[in-house]
Amino acid sequence: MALVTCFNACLPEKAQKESNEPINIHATSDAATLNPVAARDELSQIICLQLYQPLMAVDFKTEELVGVVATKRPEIIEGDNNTSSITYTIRPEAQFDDGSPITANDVLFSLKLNVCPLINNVGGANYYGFITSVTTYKDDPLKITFNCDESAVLNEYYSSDFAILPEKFYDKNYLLRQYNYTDLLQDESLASDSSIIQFAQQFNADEYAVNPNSINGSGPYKLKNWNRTQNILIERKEKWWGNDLKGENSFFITTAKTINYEIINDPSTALVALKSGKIDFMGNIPARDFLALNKSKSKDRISTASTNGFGYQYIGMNLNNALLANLSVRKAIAYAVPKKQLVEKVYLNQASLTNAPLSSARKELYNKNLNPYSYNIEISKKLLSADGWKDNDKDGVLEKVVDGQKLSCKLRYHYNTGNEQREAVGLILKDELKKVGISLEVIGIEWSVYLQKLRNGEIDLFFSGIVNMPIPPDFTSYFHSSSANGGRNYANYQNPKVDSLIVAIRKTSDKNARIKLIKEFQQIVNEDLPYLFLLTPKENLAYSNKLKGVKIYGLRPNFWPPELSWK
Amino acid sequence: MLGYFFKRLLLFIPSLWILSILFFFLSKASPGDPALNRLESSLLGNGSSIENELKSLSKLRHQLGLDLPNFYFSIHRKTKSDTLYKIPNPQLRQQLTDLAFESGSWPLVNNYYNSWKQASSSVGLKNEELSLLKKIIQNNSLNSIQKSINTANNIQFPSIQVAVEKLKKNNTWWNNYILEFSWYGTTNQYHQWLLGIMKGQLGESYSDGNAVGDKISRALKTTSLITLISIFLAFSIAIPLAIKAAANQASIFDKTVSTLLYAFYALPIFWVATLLIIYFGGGDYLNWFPSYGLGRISEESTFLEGLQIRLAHLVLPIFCLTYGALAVIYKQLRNAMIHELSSDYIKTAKAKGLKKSQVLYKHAFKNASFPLITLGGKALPATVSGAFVIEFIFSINGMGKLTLDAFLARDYPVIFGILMLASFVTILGVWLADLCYHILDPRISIKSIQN
Repeated sequence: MALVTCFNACLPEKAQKESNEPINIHATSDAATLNPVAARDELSQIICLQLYQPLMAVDFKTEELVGVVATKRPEIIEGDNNTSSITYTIRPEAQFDDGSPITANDVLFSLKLNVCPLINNVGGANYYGFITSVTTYKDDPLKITFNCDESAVLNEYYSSDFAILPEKFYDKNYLLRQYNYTDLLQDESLASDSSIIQFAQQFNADEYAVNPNSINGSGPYKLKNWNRTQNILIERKEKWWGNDLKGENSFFITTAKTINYEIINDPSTALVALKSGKIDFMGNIPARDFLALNKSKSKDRISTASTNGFGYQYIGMNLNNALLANLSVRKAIAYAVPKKQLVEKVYLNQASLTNAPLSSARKELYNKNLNPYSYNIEISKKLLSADGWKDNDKDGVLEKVVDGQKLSCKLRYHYNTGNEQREAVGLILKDELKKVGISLEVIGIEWSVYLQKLRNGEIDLFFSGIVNMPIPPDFTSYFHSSSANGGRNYANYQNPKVDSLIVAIRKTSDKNARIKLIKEFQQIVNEDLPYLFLLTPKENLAYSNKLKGVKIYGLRPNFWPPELSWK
Repeated sequence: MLGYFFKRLLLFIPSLWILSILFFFLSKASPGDPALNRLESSLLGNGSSIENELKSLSKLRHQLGLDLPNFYFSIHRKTKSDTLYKIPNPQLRQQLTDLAFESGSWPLVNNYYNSWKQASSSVGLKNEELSLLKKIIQNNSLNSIQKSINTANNIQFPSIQVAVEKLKKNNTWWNNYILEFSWYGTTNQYHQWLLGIMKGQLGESYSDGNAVGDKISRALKTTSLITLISIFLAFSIAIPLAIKAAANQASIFDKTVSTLLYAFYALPIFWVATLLIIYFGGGDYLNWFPSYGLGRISEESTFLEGLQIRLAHLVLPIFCLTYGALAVIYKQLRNAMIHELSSDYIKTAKAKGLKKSQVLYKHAFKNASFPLITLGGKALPATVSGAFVIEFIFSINGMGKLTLDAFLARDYPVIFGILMLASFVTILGVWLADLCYHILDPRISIKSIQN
């Protein structure tokens, strides 16, 4: 042991990093798969974005949709009955590693993979079902049209984000060619077809998820090595079709030669690794550790950065609960939440306030005239007493007789155990609501149980959050009445006026008209208060001073590894 | 005598089978839905409707085999339908169950649900009719259903109204207390899993689709490496210390070592591990040891270099695992040795003129080592179960982390695989320990064991 110690301590730290030394980026948990059709978790998706290419993607710098395999934004034609068609043109110079050009057949094949029965696809008909049929052109192999059943603004985003795979490599016998896209999407009986069964078994195999030789994307990087649960190493391709388009957008930048994703589960251990130089870039740093990092001795070796994220966190109120169905009670709760104190104590000032289901940094969309429900216990008390709530039995809890039954102001707040922030918010809320006469029970339950109860509408008050992208927002899943009672509209909020606004927002292509609708939506939701929107956490990152070309973005993962290099 | 041990070896299989049924039932009885967990972890879904989401959920359940009944048969309340899993929306399932409990008849509730489905799928429904239908189905008691129907004066759904009337008139409350037996044959989840085990396939993980056998063997290699070395070290350090302490009872050596080891035992592992990493793992303080992982050995390095890298990474985790175990082994052996050293035959041996070392090792230690065999028997399952805290803090992906992650994600194939492995190793450990007792002291016969 003594020998080992001496040996280790004597190893000098290299002053200058060679240009082909891998840039070590921290990851909290291992990727599940590098098959882009099955990639669900964040790490899989970000690595797939470097190994494979979609038609279009959101650029980190401009936050706009840019062409990756496609030349530019598509041509969208509105049809009758609210349908639309989206036509993409593939770059003529786009090719796979073997030199064969990327054609509409490959795009069609890749889309089919995402809706084909028996294949482990993440999106599936759920996500891509809005594309009802696909048109390819005999005289133009670089053109493809997606026919959509609805004319929605986000069709452009959702129809272009799947990875393009070479049909010749992944389906050598062209088994999927015999099936029409529409049939694969809609005909459930195809799941018992022998060709589909054979192809699915082959495509779902580990081979395409893990083996570097079987991962064949058109992206600038290739998988070099994957030690499961330890690290994933990707390397820049020497000969790559996009080299001539260098710098056109984020997806044609290949400054980094070798990128290594190092998997360290515990954030404290990862911080030590960062300070000792074992990892060079770390994101998602918890607030307390981030502030400590700024004061630590390693400050001269490490730089820190902070940026506003996209998304929001909120306190949800289940409108199916008899108490919370009452707007006065909801407003009273809203006025009793000390928002500034929450940001200070629970988030250590590493968050920005918001009153809407968007980050307040999205200046174009954010409605500045919303009621912030600033902390005011007196207003809270007045609202409740004006609504007829009184504490007749002097037990500190208000009551009211509703429909012949006595209702007591007793509520329960659930959080998932292990999440300190949610627990802290619950305890602060408990104290404040006590002043107003509402008794709040704060209960911690395990994550799976928490999810189930949330879906079943068994939770009264909860704290949750959503991370999203800088794309036009779509509020259907979380606010539309069709998503209530079993969907993601956990507050079970149902307002027909809001429903029609949500649908209009989805469909309005004129940007200014849409922004106006989004602001109106924010106004109504602000008044109805099914959710009390609180804040958007800041994204905290730290990186080695030896890195060059570090740019911080709002879009997760808040930096783009291919841009990095050594000084 | 050895025939007895052989018979016990044969008992492994029935024991494991009964345990498998127990594990299966306990897992299925716990709340939490692996398909829902997987859906939630998907980052997609900003624009999808609830029907599509529920369709995905059903598809996922079918893919994972979760839409089959749990076991060969089930015994359930007459009013709780065993085909409820066919309804994808979990809230609706609960509401219909509540209705069945209130009215005492599942067939009538099913009839109500079917008439509602029929009404909802009719063509040309107006918006008010659609929203009324939505309002009706959200209720879980007859009163509230009737209230919802009454809110709309001009809209009528005669089939639903008829079904509700039938429900109201029905008062077969005793059905809630009658148990019904349903037989499912071999198309059930347990049977599929058992078939797989017999073919040697443990199935595929629910969370990432990897083969369970692969996941477990990867984690097992890591965990057994660390725990075996740690057990070996713990015994090698504690045994000599205990023997010396027992031989010089109440000496300074005895008192110091006892106090020190008990103090170590009291220190919590997670605190010690984190401190070690912060102070010795580089960063702000000393850079003596690597702070995480097991080290990466490239193909070009020699055996010695590889060994050095591996050992360097193992020092801190093994230290954390070992220091607490020392006190346990030390205490057991020391007390047993003191007891032996005070017996008559030791006095006789000393009187006969045997050397001190012979007395200590050949006679006293041999008889005092029974508690060590017990501890050894318990240590065998420990090589399989791992230590989650160490594995998480040092980012070493072993059995402990795999087990906890599988439980949290309700990844049943992995959970069952690990539980069966742990059961097998535990039964094996107990069997080996009994065998060792017998070998060490042949006076221990079946009769005395059975007594």
